[in-house]
Amino acid sequence: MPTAVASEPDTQVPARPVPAPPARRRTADGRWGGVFLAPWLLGLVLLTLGPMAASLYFSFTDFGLLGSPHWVGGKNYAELLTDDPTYLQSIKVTLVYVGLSVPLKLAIALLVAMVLNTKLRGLSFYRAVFYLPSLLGASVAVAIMWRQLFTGDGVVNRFLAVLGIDAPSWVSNPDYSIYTLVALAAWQFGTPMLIFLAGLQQIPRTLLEAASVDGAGTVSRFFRVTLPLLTPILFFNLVMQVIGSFQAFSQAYVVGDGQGGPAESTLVYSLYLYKAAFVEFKMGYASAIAWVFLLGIAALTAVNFLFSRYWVFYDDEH
Amino acid sequence: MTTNTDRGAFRIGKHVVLLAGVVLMLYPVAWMLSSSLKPAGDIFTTSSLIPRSWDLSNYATG
Repeated sequence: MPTAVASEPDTQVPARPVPAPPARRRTADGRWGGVFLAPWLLGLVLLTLGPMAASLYFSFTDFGLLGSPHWVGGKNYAELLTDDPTYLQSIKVTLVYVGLSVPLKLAIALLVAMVLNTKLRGLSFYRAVFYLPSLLGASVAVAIMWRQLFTGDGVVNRFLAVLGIDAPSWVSNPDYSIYTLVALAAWQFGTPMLIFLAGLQQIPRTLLEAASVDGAGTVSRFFRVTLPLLTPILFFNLVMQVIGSFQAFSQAYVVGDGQGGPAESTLVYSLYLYKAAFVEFKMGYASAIAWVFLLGIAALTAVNFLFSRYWVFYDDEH
Repeated sequence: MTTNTDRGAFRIGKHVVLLAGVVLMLYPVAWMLSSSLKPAGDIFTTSSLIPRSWDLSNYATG
């Protein structure tokens, strides 16, 4: 016979305490849980944490792939930060790349998402087509194609010639080569666009209608209603894109002809890391580069989260 | 004031802009597809999207 619950007829969902399983069964459950977790745990330790620990150790040695590593203390880090102009160049290239491609990509993604969030004939066709380049991902094939588009007699220049513009070879000019990579990143705006679209559909129509009734135009509706409500999505996209762009590698590898060329103008951070490790076989040094990278991205993401308090708006906040 | 023709023009304009975007999005993809059907020597020498001589061997051997 129910006791306490029956005496409170107003309660809609009767709070019936779930009986705790006997202690013996709980430990058995835990054991089986451990068994099922084991493959993943094994992978994590052997394939992720182990190599990370090894690379941390190597970063303090002069390991050169062959031979045994010798402890050199902080020498790699000191050399990296004070005595390596190529390293500084790679940081500069990476910052330019991230600083340009992320805002550009997000702006295009948001703009297209806004347009594709309206009633429109052929809507699903447009959505599919605008996402298509992102399906190809950062593959080598795409990068080769991109390089071809922007060479001296590539398609882009042929098109510009029709307009009467005599353009240089974009990929082999150190002043412009990085911008072809930025353009490639901007071209693949599909993923943030999809996330923006989902976010836009979460915005209650009533708020936009109320703003219209109050006399707000398209522009102020966007800046006063849509954008504030979209800031959590924008923040998510920003964090993901910043991290992703810092890791750009294959595009730069192909467009820069495996060298980050011309004149180190496309030598992004990961590419320099790769060259140090697998071209010059300076494993210890490359490990140090990787760890500075990890700390740098982590610090930047932390700053990103810190600043988010001032501009990201969560609806459930008070 | 927006009239019906204004709105119609706006709608058509939107489609024009979107279709231009579609071309930008699809051209490189089409280029890739057409290259897959060309003999290797033609990929970087001819710019036409329609292969001069069709070559399916990339698919057969790839």
